[in-house]
Amino acid sequence: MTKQDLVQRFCGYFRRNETKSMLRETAKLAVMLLISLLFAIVVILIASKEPGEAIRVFLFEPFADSYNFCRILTESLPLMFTGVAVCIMMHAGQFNMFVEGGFFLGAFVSAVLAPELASESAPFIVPFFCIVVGATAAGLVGYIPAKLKSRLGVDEFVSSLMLNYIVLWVVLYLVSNVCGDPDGVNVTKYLEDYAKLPFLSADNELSMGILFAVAAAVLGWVFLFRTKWGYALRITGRNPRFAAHCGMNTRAVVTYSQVIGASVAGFGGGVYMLGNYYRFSWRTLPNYGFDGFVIAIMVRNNPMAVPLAALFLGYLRVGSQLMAQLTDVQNEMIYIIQGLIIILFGAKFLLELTLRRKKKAEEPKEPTAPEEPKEAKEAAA
Amino acid sequence: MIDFLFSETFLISSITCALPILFAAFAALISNRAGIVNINIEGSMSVAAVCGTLVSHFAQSWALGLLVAVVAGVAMSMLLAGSSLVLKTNSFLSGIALNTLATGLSVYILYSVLGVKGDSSAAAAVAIPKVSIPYLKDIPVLGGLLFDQSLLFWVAILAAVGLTVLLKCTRLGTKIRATGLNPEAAASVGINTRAVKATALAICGVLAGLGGAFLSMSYLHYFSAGMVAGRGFIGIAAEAMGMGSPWLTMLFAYLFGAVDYFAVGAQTVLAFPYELLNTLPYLMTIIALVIYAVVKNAREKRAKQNNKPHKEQQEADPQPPELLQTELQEKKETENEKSVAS
Repeated sequence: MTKQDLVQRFCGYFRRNETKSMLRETAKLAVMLLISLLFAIVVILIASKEPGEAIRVFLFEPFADSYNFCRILTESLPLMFTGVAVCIMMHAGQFNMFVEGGFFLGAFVSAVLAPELASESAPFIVPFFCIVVGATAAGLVGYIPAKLKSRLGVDEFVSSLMLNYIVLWVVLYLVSNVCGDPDGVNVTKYLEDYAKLPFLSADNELSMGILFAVAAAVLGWVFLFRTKWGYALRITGRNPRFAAHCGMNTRAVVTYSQVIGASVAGFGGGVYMLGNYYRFSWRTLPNYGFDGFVIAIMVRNNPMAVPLAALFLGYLRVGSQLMAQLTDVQNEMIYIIQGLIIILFGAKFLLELTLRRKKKAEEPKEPTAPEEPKEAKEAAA
Repeated sequence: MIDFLFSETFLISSITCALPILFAAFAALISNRAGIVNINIEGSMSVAAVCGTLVSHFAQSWALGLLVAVVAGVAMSMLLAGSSLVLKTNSFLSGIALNTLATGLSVYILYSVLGVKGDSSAAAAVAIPKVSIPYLKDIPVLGGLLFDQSLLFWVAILAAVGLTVLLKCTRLGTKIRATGLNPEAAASVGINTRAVKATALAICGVLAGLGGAFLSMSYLHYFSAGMVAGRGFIGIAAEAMGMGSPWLTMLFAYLFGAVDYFAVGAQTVLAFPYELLNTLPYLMTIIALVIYAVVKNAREKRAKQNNKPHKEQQEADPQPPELLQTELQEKKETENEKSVAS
């Protein structure tokens, strides 16, 4: 294989019309993002007594210094992982909520393992191994609703939600009774620096986890659109009967899509925990699973665009946190905006509007089409 | 232990724990019958709970609080109706969206009124009164069971009767069922399916509002963030197992309520970590769903063997998710462009 072949092969991963449609998607995304920013501003106008200051803080303060800017990256990290996880499951048509529990479990397992296994001689490998174990644990538990769905047809939505609560309480039990820190209350052992993922920039508390997150998004895309498994998964999600007729093992697809989704979420939990925390101290589910749905809807289940959407949500969050610190608007506003964003992005109504406009735009084009051959003839003559 | 299980308190407290689940289940029932998957019951309940308890505290009137809770429930349902019927967002996604919104909104309301974020125990609500009938309530078991219950207990019974009558004996009920079974067919005979769905969702909102009000004005006398704790979803599970019948749904809701109370009550009786006891209601839900699925599958298998076309098989057909349709549309769109370009 020559070097040129390799280059061509690599470029084949980004075919031309796909790039084009990706660009169009990005443009659409940008418009939607602007609309949701407007939403946010309206909500602030309603909620605040000093809206001018609040809006200024909300919009510009996240970019004010490098620390705030890195906070955006940190805030968006869990969203990237859960976003990719949800994308994979949504492509298979599975509304599995275990992303939430998987993230929680992955964080817990890696936070318990890391202090035990870590040594100063192997700073990066051991934390990474712990994260992988956490992801595996999440995948294993995620296997339960997946298998129940594929084998018995148990609704994965309700069962995975219930599983989240079970995981929550079992983890809380383990933290306070089995593997907690004897010196602390309801927390796991302290994570030394060598038990954590290295920082990219220690001053700004930015861990290298963000690189993993971007890698997860790319790998998720490759898995979905460039592998046999991903193909079977997408076809099954679109039309299970057709997939079964073509000889695809749809049951297996239903299972592995959810297991992979749960593991990705678990991996994300581990990365977030070992990157940005010093011990596991969560007492409630962190809600990142539902945020994953927000992301997946924003990017129409395309993992490649997940980092972008996650960064946007991260920006909104840092903005609203700063706003809560500096002004009278509360942090919970962000959930209201997020809810509105899902409805807006999921709205078929808006899609229909853009379609209609496109049709109108296309109509006058048609008569010009036959002219081309003439020109070609002239050129030939 | 066994004493505890068969005690009078267990029986009565189980009902108390079952009531919010029951209202959630009824809410799920009416919207499911109209063909809408409403997973926003959880969110509606929490918003209703916070509105109810606050109004009840400040107006010093439980009736006003209850009314506002119901209105809040309906408002949340109408948001769902708006997004799924007018904006045509997938109802499932709208539900997720509104649940997210409700998480923020309930705390936001709490904060903007009281200035605290955790719970409203500082502003205790005027509780919804009990209906105790002077002499009858002294009858040993039955007295406590029936004649010394919260007002909402009777409302729940009324709701069960009301739902049965509504679905079986009224025009609206027939329309709701027709819309749920086959919206195209219903529309073809002149039923305004959108209006029917919106009406069903409004009823759903009333029921969810009652459930929320019960949580914050009777079960406890204040709102705390996350107090619904999955009851809305457990209600959906109870409804699925009740197979669309209010009375069966009631039975399953009671069962879940009993497990719920067991998890709380057994902490005083059993030397068992409370964290693990708390998993019981959720574990029980999963187990119940599995049993339900096994039974349903077995029945379908039998129906297949008998070679009779079975009604449930038709219902079990997965509807094409709306996401798929948008994807297909997109594909068409790109194809169109290609043909234009060439």
